[in-house]
Amino acid sequence: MDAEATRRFQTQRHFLGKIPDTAVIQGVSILAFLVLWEAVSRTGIIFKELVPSVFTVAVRVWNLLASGEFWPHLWISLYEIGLGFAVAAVIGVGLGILLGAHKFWRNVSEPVFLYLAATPKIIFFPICLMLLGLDTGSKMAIGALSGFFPIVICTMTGAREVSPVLLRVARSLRASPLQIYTKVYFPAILRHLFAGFRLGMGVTIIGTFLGEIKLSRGGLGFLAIGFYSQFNLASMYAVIVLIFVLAGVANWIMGILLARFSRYRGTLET
Amino acid sequence: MARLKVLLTRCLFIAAALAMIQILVSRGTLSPLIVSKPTAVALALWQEIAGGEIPKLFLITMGEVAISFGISLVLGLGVGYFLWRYERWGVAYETLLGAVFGSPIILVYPIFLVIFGRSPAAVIAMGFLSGCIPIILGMRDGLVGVNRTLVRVGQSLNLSRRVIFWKIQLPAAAPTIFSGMRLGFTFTLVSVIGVEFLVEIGGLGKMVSAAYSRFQIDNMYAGITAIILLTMIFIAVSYNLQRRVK
Repeated sequence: MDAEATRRFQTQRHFLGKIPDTAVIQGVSILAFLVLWEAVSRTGIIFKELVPSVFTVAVRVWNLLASGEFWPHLWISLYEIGLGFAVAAVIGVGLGILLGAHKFWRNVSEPVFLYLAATPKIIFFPICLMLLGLDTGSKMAIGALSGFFPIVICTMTGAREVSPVLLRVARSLRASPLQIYTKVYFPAILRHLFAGFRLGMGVTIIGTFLGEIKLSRGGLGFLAIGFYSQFNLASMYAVIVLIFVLAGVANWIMGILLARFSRYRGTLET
Repeated sequence: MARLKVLLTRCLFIAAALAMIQILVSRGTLSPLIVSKPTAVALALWQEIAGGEIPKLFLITMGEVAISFGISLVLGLGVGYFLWRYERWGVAYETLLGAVFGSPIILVYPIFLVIFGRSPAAVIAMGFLSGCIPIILGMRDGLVGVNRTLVRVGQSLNLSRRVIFWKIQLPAAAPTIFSGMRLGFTFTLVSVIGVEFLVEIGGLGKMVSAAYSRFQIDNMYAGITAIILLTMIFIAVSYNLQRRVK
């Protein structure tokens, strides 16, 4: 019914012309939020310095992008997120296939992963700091730890759902265990894998930025909290906006990959 | 029997991992300045519980969670109902709320620090923001997904709109609504503890951060263990409740 409603409203044409109703409501809502923010800022209901004007924040975003200060911090964050995610993906997929392929070991390990997945990972950050220091290593580690759980859980779910027929065919062809993992499990679970990657990327980004905000020497989180300490709030808001854009782009890319590999799985089964 | 074997193997693995850490730290392979012996952590945990520190911090954390979740619940269920009742708004807002839910929303916590200062209000505001979106989406999805035949049966019996809502639609939507509430509670709990840790105020999250700052490693691990246990208990209880609702 929901899909029906979406289709109905998206095909309904508004008095404004070809713009669908949903897009009008969405656009007006975002605009209303910005107008409200601007009104709060200009009237000074909340202390004026605390809520800078939308235009001031937009100018600061532009200034940051144009300055040389922003880019080195962006590269640090991207490096930490990239490596953290890679570590999470390699360990998560490896362990997920290995444990997920065997019912007994899956039952033994799954609740442990599920419980730990719900724990706020940032509380492990002091351990990462003590092991790897203040530099990029500790941020990569907390990012990897955050990303590991959704990836391993999704991979295990995928491995559980691999058709026994595919496995029997592989065994009847005398495939080695390594071949079964790489040629049967891996392609068959691509959809779950990329669903896990999408979730994992989101939480890796969160973990890394929270680590940078807590204690670091560089990165966008460090930049944001630095501006906060200097009471340069417009610049802090600008960095937060840019972090959200970065997270949005990462989510969009992972969404495209997920859509692509969901189709790939379908062609394998037909 | 098979379940018992799984449970025993799990316990055995956890015990073996803890024993290995104990041996490695005792032999000096792992620095005691970085990793505490599990026995020392257990002792610190017990002392903190018996001394009243952990129960006090637990109550602070749970107080913040309760207030955040309470506000999320009232607002979330209300907004969710509105978005179901006014379909056009529901369809438009589902995408917007989904986008906000998918974004790293906890990263806006410095904004709450700016508005509320380093106070429990900032922690509560963050907990509320994290918790209310899944509740809104759960309420709307639950009501949207109610089988139309059930509603038609109610209409054919000449029941009023109010009775149909309370006696048919709401009970039919209850599992999805509860699912949203469970997710909302988990997000609230995680956000509250996360912000407590980051800003070093409040309850159990503060304990971990403060113990790290003072280099009280045993206490830091005791705090982490307490948080893991707390999360485990709440996840187990909420799964159990969800099974009952279904």
